[in-house]
Amino acid sequence: MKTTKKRNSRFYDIMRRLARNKLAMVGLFIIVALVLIAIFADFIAPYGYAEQNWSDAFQAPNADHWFGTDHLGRDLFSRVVYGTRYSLRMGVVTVAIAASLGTIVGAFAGFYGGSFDNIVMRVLDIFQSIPILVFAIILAAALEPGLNNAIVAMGVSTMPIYARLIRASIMQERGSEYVEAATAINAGDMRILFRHILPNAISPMIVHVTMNIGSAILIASTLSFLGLGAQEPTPEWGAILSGARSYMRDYGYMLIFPGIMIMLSVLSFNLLGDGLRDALDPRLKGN
Amino acid sequence: MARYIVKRLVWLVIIVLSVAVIIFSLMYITDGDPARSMLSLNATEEQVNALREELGLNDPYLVQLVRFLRQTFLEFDIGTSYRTSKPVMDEVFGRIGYTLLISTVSTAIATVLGVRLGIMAATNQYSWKDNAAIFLSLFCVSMPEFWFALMLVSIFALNLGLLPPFGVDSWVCFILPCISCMVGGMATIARQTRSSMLGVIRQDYITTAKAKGQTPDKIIKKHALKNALIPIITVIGTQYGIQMGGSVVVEQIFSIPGLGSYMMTAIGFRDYPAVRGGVLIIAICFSVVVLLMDLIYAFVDPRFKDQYKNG
Repeated sequence: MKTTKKRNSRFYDIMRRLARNKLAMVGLFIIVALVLIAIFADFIAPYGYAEQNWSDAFQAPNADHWFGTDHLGRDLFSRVVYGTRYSLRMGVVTVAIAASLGTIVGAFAGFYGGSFDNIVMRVLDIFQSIPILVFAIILAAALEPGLNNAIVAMGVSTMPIYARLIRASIMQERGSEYVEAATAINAGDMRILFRHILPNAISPMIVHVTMNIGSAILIASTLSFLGLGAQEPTPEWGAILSGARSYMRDYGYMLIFPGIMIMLSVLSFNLLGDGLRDALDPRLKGN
Repeated sequence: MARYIVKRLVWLVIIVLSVAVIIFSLMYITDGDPARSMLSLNATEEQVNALREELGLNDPYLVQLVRFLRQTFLEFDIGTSYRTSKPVMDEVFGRIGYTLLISTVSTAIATVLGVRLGIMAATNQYSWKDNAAIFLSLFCVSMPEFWFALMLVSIFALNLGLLPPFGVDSWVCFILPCISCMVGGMATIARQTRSSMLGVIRQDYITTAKAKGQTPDKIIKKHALKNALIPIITVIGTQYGIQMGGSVVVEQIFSIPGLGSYMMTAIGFRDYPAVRGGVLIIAICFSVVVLLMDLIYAFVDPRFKDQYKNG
């Protein structure tokens, strides 16, 4: 009973510090807005994302088409609104895959240590000697270009980051007294690792997960831009930009809004991540 | 120290070998038939099969893998490009110059600007300068590199006509690619510099330096920055590696015949030897950068030298 109360108060403390951080709240606000846009895209978008209207092609932003229209006369505002779904999904699912794979790998490596840990870490070294973007490109190409395969590719190539993080904090926790206590009551390895150590070791992950959703959205849009992610007519923001690139000489307006949306969403996750880091560890702020 | 370096070099060889195996296996499971894309569309099934036989693509996985490893690491021959029929080695070395040029120049500029920006923010914490620096770097970190590059082309090349939109004819052509590569790195370096300077700046030895009447400039450069440098160097090294890999995007946009655009074309064409060669070279460059970074630690911070001696 006493422990739950204590944890609640710490959680409350962190949340209070987070709520006082204006920038983090701006980030949270944008994220909530993006999620709402993604959910209610059908009601917000005035046109369908693949709805072609040849007589309206290449219109600059105007009252009917707020962001203009593309070469097929598709309404860019609607496409950008629907794109929120794909970009957010790519970011969140990628990080979910990477974080869960990484947690499992890192938890076992950190818990058992010794030569097992050594081997796992060396294998991660090997994977990390290929830059993430290059690895994701090769994987995405090997799996056939497409939205889901791009997610898998990004998830696998960013996994080592989480594995290292979790391993480091598990190793820190492993020597604690509560672990000794759990061992003393004859709790099994799995129980100690997943019920006792992991919940205590996970908090540094939260910051990284938040920020990496942002960077996953960035990589996702880059893959789509290179033609290895979402394919036509899927209105993923990177894919829209990839299509708009052919017409940029005369119709530069097509580039502006999808890019701003990518930037806003990545920015919001970065703001929230920064805020969470400061809230979890106030010492880092230097005051 | 020498023992440490030798150990690391042996490890580098192992890494490169493993990367070769990984990349070979990935290309092996890739859908699509290089023989099909090499021949014209109306080639018969027999012709395709004959070519597959000739390229050794019909052999079992292990036979192909061993042949590839033997060729690459014993004969130093990555193979011949399916697309251009030229040795991949020659093509890769003809192109890597552009990639290295852009990544090196942009990382150098990013380092100079980023460290300055970070120091300025940390020494003026909570002032407008600090806020401006935080905001600028947050925006730059969040901006997709390819979008920024497209906007630069749109504004400075297509609308204002000040700079060429693509090509490699003169040094002017490299201004836009370097700027677009630079901003992300600059922002990341600035953020790291700020936070590690803030960690150092309140230490007792800084107060001591102030008390003995040292000038603020010297305190920052000699006392604070030197102690804050290790994480900054890590970030710079990582950024340099990311730039080498990330050049794919910028090379595509500015039509620069570097390693990245070579690999993208090769991937589209299922040109396996070219993809393998490109990735191997990038992995080698990346690992060398990481190794150099670890050696630089020893020069910046003597405590690392001790560690290396023991390990």
